[in-house]
Amino acid sequence: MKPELLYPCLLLANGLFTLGLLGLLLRRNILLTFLAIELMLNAANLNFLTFSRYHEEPTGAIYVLFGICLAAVEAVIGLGLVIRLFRQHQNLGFAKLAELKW
Amino acid sequence: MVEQLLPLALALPALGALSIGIGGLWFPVLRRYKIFLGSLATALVGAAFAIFFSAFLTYTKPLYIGWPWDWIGIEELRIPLRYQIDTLSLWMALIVTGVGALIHLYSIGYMKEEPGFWRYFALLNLFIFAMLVLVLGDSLPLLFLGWEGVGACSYFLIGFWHQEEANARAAQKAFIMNRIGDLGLLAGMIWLYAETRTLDLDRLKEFTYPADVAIGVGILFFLAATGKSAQIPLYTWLPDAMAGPTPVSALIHAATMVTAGVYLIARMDFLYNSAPEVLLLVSGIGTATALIGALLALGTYDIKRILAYSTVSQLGFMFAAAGAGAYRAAIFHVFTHAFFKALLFLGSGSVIHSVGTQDIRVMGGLRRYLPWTGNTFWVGVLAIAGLPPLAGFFSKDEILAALYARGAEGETIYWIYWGTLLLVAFLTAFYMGRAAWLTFEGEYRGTATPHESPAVMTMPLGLLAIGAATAGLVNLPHFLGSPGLHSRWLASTLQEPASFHLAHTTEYFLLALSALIALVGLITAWLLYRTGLKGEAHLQQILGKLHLALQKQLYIDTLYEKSFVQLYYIFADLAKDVVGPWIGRTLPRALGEALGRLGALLTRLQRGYLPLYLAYFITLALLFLLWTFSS
Repeated sequence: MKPELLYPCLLLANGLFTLGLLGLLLRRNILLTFLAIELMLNAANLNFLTFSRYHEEPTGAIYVLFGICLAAVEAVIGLGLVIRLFRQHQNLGFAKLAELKW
Repeated sequence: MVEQLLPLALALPALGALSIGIGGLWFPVLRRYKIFLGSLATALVGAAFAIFFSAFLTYTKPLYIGWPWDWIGIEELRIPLRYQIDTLSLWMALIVTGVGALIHLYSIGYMKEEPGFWRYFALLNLFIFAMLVLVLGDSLPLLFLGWEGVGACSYFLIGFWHQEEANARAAQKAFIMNRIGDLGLLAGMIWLYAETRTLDLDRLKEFTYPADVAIGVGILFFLAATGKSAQIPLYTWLPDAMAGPTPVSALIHAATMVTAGVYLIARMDFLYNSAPEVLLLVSGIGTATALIGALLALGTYDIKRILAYSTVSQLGFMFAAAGAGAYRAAIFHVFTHAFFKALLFLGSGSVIHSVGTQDIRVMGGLRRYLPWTGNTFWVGVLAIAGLPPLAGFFSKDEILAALYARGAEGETIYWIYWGTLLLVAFLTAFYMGRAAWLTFEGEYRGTATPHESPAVMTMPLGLLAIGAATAGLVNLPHFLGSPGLHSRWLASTLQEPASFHLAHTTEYFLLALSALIALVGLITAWLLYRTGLKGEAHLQQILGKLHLALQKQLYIDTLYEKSFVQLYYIFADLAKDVVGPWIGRTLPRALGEALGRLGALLTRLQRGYLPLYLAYFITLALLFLLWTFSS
């Protein structure tokens, strides 16, 4: 990888992460929050890959494989939860979830 | 052979206490077999005496018995469970088990009607065991264990009839006053350990002590002795201890436990020899206590209290001797005193058993009804008065001679002690004569029908009377061409700082003087009391205001009541009214409430709204990042 590509790549990853973070904080819908988390995970993966290529070092790429794995597992559990939640409440807003507070 | 039996001698009383105590506690049906329980306890102590006696006969050199493992082992502090049999400890063990066995025997008769019979004998056996631990223990902590053990047994037995509040109070008084002294023993032990890094008696002997350590530890140990042996200022518990059954008074509060203080000082002879100032104090306190005890005995009509004050007074004699460095004379007086005081107490018990009162004003003429008790009591009276050739004569004379000899060596203060003790000897003969005449001679002034006690009670009286009459013969004065058995027996263990050498003519003079004083005291008592109670009026006239003060125990109890006890009550009230409500209730409650409020405040942060939590998380994560980068 050419060194001058490093900053644009990192910027892209950071941009994605910030986008995810904002989505997490601002969205009132649990499904969209979920998407935002996925976005942040992929931003982290992109960061890993960037440095892996930059340093010519495979470790980062291996971590990314783990990251994708994790994202898949998380999607399964998370989506399962979301579906249960929707069946329960016919609604995916956070406000309803406050009743889970002890 | 005897060596293998010696651990048994120590174990037998413990075994008796355990079996009778647990048996009586768990199997109430056993409590009915009183004769069996009493005989068992008596036999065990008797067997222990037999073993100690055979060890005495075959004694050649100090023996050590015990276990190979440590009782306490913390780093360099090693306290083995080991007992030493040397001449001093063996002698004390003989007194304890010998007199103890006779008192056990007597108790079978005296306590026959008592529902708590099993409890009584279990405690009596436990006491014998604790006392043996005290005298045989070869290190200070083991001695302390026995010391506390006898204190606890004394507490239980003074309060044996604890259903009456006065008895329970007397028990508490004894326990608390002893505790003050015990603190001295504990502090002295710690100080000694800090100095020498050992508490083993044999090893402590090898050190030479700097003056400040010897004086400090000496005073602390003497404080312990004043507690246990009822000396000024801690003597007031002993007269109250008469609340217990009479045989208990005889065994614990006259013959054995109260002599533990004298034993402690004799045992620590190496320490006291390097602190002559403390010895002067010991002698002075002993003399003062002897005088006060003798005076107080004049002012009371309770036969047991008279004997209690007489014990205080005689213990004063022992401390006066120990303070002169005449440890052997002190132990000799312990030995003779054990006989005649046990005899006197048991005799008074027999009288109380018979007439149901302790007031000598309503006795009189009892020798006709209780011939055994009366005659043996008289032997005891003559022995304690110091009439030759009974036991008290020789031991008292040895003490007086030792004090005189120290005075003659140039320490004239001992002559003052000597003079005071001569006066006390006169008073002793007088007040004992008073008690005996008022109790046993003249006309009976009471309303009960007195009867002689059963043989199980009179037999120990007879044996003790023989002892009280002849015990002095084991240590005849040197110039009578006697072997001085007792002095030589103890010489290998006790190191005395002076030789107490007197010219023969002086010794004759002193002997004659103390015999004369005893005689004069008894004759004075006879002159006053041969007509019964009328003499009491004369005595009150002679004593004047002092008699009133004596009736109030010289206001010492009142003084303690008004100062220490009141002070304690003030502290207790402070704890009840201030510390309790404020520090105990208000403060913790306020603290709890404040924490609750804080918690309630913090729960507001927890809204159950997920994005809010994320915001907390992110804010804190950012702060953390900032903190790591900035430092």
